[in-house]
Amino acid sequence: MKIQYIKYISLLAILGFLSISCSDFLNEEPQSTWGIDDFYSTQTEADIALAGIYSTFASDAVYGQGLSIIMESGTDEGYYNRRYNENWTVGLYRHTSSDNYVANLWAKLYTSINLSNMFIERLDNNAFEQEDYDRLIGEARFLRAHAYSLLVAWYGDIPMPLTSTLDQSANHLAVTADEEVYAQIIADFTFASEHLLAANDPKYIPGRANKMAAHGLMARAYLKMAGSPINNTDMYALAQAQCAIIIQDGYHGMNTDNGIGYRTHFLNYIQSTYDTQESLFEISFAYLREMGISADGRIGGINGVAFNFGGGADGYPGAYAMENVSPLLKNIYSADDLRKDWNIAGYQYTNKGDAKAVTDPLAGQYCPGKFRRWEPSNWADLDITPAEGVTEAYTLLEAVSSPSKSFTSINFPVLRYSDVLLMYAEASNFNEGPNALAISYLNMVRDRAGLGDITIENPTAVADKDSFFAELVDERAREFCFEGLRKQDLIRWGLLGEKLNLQNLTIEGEPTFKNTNENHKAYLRAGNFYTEGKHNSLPYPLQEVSLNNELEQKAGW
Amino acid sequence: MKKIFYIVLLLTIMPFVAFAQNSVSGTVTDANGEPIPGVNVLLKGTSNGTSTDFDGLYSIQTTKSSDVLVFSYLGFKTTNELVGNRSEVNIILQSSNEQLDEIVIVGYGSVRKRDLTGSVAQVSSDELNNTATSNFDQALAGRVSGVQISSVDGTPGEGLNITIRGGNSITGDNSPLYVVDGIPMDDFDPGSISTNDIKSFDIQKDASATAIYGSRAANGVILITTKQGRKDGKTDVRISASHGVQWIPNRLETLSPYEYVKYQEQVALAIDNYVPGQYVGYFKESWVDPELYRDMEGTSWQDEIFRIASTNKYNASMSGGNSTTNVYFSTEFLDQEGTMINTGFKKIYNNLKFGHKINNKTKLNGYLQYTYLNRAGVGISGNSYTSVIRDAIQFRPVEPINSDGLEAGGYDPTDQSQKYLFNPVKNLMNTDRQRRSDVLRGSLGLTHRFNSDLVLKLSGSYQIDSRKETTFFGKDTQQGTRGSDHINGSVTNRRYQTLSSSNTLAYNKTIDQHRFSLLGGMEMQTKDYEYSWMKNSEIPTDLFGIDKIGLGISPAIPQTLSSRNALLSYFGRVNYNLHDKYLFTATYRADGSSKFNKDNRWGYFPSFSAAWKISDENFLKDVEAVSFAKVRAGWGITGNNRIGDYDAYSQLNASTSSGYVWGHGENYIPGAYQSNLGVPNLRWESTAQSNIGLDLGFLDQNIELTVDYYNKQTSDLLLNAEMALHTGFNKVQQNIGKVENKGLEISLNTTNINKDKFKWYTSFNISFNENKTIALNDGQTAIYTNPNWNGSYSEYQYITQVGQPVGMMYGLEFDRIYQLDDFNWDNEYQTYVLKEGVPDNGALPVGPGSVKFIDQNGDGTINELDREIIGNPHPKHFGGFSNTFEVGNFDVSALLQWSYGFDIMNANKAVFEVPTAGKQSGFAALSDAWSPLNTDTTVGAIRYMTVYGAPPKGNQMDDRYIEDGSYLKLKSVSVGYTLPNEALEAMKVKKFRIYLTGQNLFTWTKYSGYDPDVSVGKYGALTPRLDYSAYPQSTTIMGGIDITF
Repeated sequence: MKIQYIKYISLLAILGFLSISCSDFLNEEPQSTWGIDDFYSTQTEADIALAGIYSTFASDAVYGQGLSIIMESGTDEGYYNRRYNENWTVGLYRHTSSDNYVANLWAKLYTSINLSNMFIERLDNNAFEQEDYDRLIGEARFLRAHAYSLLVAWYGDIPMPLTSTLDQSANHLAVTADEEVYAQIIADFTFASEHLLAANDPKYIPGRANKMAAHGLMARAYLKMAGSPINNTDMYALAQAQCAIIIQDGYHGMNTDNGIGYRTHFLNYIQSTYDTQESLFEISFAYLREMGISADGRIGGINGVAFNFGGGADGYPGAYAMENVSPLLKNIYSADDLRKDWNIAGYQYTNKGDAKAVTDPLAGQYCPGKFRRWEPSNWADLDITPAEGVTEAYTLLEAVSSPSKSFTSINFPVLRYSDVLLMYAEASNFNEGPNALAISYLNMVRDRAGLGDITIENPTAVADKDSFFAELVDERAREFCFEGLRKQDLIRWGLLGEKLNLQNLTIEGEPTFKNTNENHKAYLRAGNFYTEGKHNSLPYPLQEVSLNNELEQKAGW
Repeated sequence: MKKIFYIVLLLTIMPFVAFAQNSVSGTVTDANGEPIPGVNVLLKGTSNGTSTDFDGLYSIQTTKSSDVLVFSYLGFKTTNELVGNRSEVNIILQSSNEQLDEIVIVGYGSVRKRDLTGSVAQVSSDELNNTATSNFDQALAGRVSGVQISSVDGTPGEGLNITIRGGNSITGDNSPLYVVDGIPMDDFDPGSISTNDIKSFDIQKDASATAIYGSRAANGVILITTKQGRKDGKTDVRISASHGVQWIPNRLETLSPYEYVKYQEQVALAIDNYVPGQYVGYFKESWVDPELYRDMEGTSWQDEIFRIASTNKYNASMSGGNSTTNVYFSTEFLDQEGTMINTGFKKIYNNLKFGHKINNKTKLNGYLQYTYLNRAGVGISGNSYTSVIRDAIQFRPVEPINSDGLEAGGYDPTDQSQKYLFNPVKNLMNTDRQRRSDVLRGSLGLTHRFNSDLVLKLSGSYQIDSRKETTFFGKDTQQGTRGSDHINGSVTNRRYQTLSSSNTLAYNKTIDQHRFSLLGGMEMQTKDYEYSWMKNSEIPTDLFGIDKIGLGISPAIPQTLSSRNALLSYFGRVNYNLHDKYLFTATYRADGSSKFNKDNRWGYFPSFSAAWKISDENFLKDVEAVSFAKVRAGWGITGNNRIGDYDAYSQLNASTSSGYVWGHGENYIPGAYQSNLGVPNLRWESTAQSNIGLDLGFLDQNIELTVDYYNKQTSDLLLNAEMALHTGFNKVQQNIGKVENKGLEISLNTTNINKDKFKWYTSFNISFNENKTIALNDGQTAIYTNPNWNGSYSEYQYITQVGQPVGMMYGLEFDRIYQLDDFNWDNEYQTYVLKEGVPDNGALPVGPGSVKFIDQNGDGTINELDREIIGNPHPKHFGGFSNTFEVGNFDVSALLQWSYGFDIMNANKAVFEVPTAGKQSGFAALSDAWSPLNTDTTVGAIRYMTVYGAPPKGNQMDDRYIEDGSYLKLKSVSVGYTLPNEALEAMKVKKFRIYLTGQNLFTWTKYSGYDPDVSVGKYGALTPRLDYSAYPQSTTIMGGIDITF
């Protein structure tokens, strides 16, 4: 009896462990994550995988604020306005290879590329109809091409992995010359343009990549190649051809909404409404932090219209308003250009609740209004100072119930139809000079802005190739300012240094400028610190250089 | 595997089938009733002999009733005993010489101290017990050479950092493996056991001692053996109660009311550019005149959040039984208030341990333990967003005579620069954070002696550690008032379940002068982890606290996670002892872990060691002064597998920040990202360690000296190593790099006086360790770390560089403050322009009063290229010195503990000693800020000619904030009085002691922070000795009584 009892207990002590086989015992598979081998085989999984790739573009480092606002600052459209610090390093041309913005943009875009590569490698061909399979692959290739477009534009020659990372040996990869990177970008966009749905297809889900966006971004890539530093002017024709495809397709166009199309169109971004006719591709943001989800951005916050009421608490459309509009941008608008008052806010809301006009272009509140979160309910209030304790009404534009002080749900445009038109004009002007079609496309953009036919209002601007080009340089600033395009435009035209010089002269020439005013002097920083050549592309991040044995830092860094 | 199963099964059953008969057996104990293992038992006049097992049990064949048994054991008087007709002969041996014959617990066995071949140190349970501490780890500092005990901070009940012989891992955990009553435990919480229940505490330092624990032993092993019931038919009931007070002995020196008002006057003047204007006007309106505040006491916000706290501790235990069955039961209740308001530590502990002899050969033992731990209080240290210490330092110490409309403390809710501040008293009082742990442990073991030589031990155990953390931010907190979630509560549940089985078979044999012992064993373990989290926000009332978060209207998406790992091991050990002079030990262990891929799953860990007892050689035997001398040498390999359960797998995960929205109405779609790159060849980190030691005893062991030298080479570091970013990964767990630790340890124990009425013992130990990074990732020369203690001070402040120790402090070298003659005056721009050749400090503008750094590379500006190693966190040496006196019935002991020659990064100074031109107060040094009238200073200007004196972002850490942390602490003192025997007999009490004891009584240091024993860095070995907003250390005094019936 006793023996039985002992046996029972000792058996119990060991049985649980010993009755399983050895190899089973040591096999443990992840319980709360997917293995990379058993994913990518259903539509749901493919959507989750693609959402993960899109999400990298919506991250802080890319369109959240890094690329779209901070790194993009320091052009002739605007600059960082805080004189006490140099936090917007890249916009002030004070960055080094250990700069966070330089590293984070690189890291995020490559994270995106690795996910795209994995998607392309592992999407289960047998689980989908060929058409659906190609469309999904096309979407991943679209996103990969866009990531590479941004990387090659900002960094030049770059490592170009086209397969997913498997182990540490992937650390060592030499750079690929920019032209070869572009060849891959074109190949990816071409595939995408062949297989993606068009935006007017009933099955198309707005917010995702589409056929014409692939053509349009391909045109942008060709234009980049045509300009500095590659300067392959054969590419103008190819860019023109891509734009023509979109224009001839006929679905896309500009929002004209009874003469306030420009405003209506941007209100759509602000209110997260997809306007797929004009917006070929955009990055979507949503404010979901109440659920603990971060899918939001900083658009309209750090580059927004000053709003100081409420002590920086949630519940108010606060804006850090760190970016100032350049007086140079102000000067290239004609007075009746509808875009001027939209892009340059010219108002603020004080900590006392006073909606107030901002007229001095050197005031710290002279901020972009393109992605405004709020407007005065009554514009007449701008000229009225309310009594102590009385606050003037404002209208919340953003589509959220209670705005966050720091994060916004405002979408950010990547490619708009007017860009297609102006790219066409620029490309065809290079080969043919000013021509009727090109001028008509410019006029379409002008028309929406409330401006008349350029051949009548300013015939010299379209008189010859150079002046038409110069007009387009300005027109692109008027149309696309604060949309993350200007710095790369100026770089491909070789005009960044020139415009920054002009900008500093313009600032110093403003009647309100005082050379003893520290704030005013701080506006000159981007122009002063910019070095021709060195600052047209970013250094490789320090971590990349120290771990990648095949990569050398660029000269001068 | 099946085969093993049958073998074990067979071994389990076999003994019950074939019982041996005709034997005498019994237990050999010492005078205290503790069993003595390893006693030689010889049938007089024959060569038949055996030795006792770990429980002092023996069994021997006899032939006739006149047989005499000879019990001999070194250090005890040899005893002859006539067997007679008895079948059970129990013997109490009287000791002859205590120290050398203490039993030292080693992996899966025990050995007499004199027979040790490895480096093992012991801490006596009395030493741990006689301190005013709540958990045993707090009492360890300074006790043992080679073991560095350092605090994170002073949070009540929090575990300490224990590093044995220097840290091996760079990004991994360096804490030792605990083995409690034979069961290895990762993540052991020192709070989950009562110090009272610890019988012995053995620290295995070198690889020859630890390698038998293989893959988990690289950081050293701490073996804890707990008390068990008496076996002599007697019963002890012990009750102790103690009460203590704790307080924070010092304060950080902040501006006094007068200094603060003077400083505000300076701020106003500086903003007015030294021509009294608008701001000086505002100042005068509210404050009138600094002289009015000269004698004001004001508010010390530190005093407001600190308190004198009480601790109550009660302990009861019962120990009883006979040679067949023994039982030990203990219970403990501890209630410790924290020295910061609304913080504290509670513990309820129950332990039932039993042993039962089924027959002469077979014994069962087991225990059941339950511990409830609760650590209350908001996280004080290392929080980069809210910090009550920061709030207490920066709140102004006095209110203006004419109100300026701000809340108490000068806190201005509308001021952007103050939006992180909040009334620290309110924050503490209205934040309810509880970290509760319910630890349940059980174990059942079976020991069977086939004969005197062959012993089988089987054991199974489980541990369930269920942790619940709740945090509730009431209305009057930083979060409740200013955060976007307002009143909110969250609940986190974590459950760790460990099942393990450990089985050994041991064989001992003595043939003439050869003594062998062989041990073989296998172990299995599985660990399960489950996690869940929920949170609700916008709760309309804080009436219910965490008990009704369902009232909230803004729930966060709940999270769950689970993971599991398994470990399978085989091991063996051979001991060989020749002439009792030459000792050899070899161990071998094979560990298989589920954390690695099939091909790399198994790790093999050998060790060899030898010792030579020179004192037993003829040439030393006659030297009277030398009572003992032994040389030891050993080498072994140990491993480390402390990585995530699935780090070897490439995984995709979806997090709350990896999703995206699309479609009309912007539907949220969870998004996948690659959360881990499973490097295919991920394997064990291994540490090869050599050790040479010398044990010497003089004057009949009144002087004992131990010296050890070791050399540890850790290779294939499990390093969360940086990747080239184009791979899409920032860091990936890999086997990369090499770290070296070399060191010397000396400990000296002396019995200075040993008289009946007066005894005096001294013990001294000192340790030297040199740590060096030998290699990092391929091509990588350094790991730069941003300690991230505060988001506004985000820069690389630590460096782990090849050729240097791990985790060096890294920053700029302070030169001086820029003076007027560094500049030319530009009249046109009305500004100061740096003279040709004078470097700027990294960002413009720079002016007189700005902070000037040394431009190391001479490029005219200051950036990351000018950073240097500015501090070393590793002490040159550390140790302890203790004296114990027994005078009559009084006992007194005192321990001094030190750590010498290391630096602390006093990040508090980088914040509180830099003028900001705001309303915040700060350290007293702010009074010394640069101004045209106060140029001889190292504190930058508040502002001069529109230029602020604070250093630019990215250049905020310099050597002004690195301080020498060397300290000597009066770590503990205890005074006790034990009632004399006559009184005890009258009271029918076995023992009665009253005592008074103190912990952390005094610290001699030049360090200006609360306490130099601090290290709140978030990234372990990469960011050591960082002090920012740490919960200060307390001084404790406790008095109590201890009665045994």
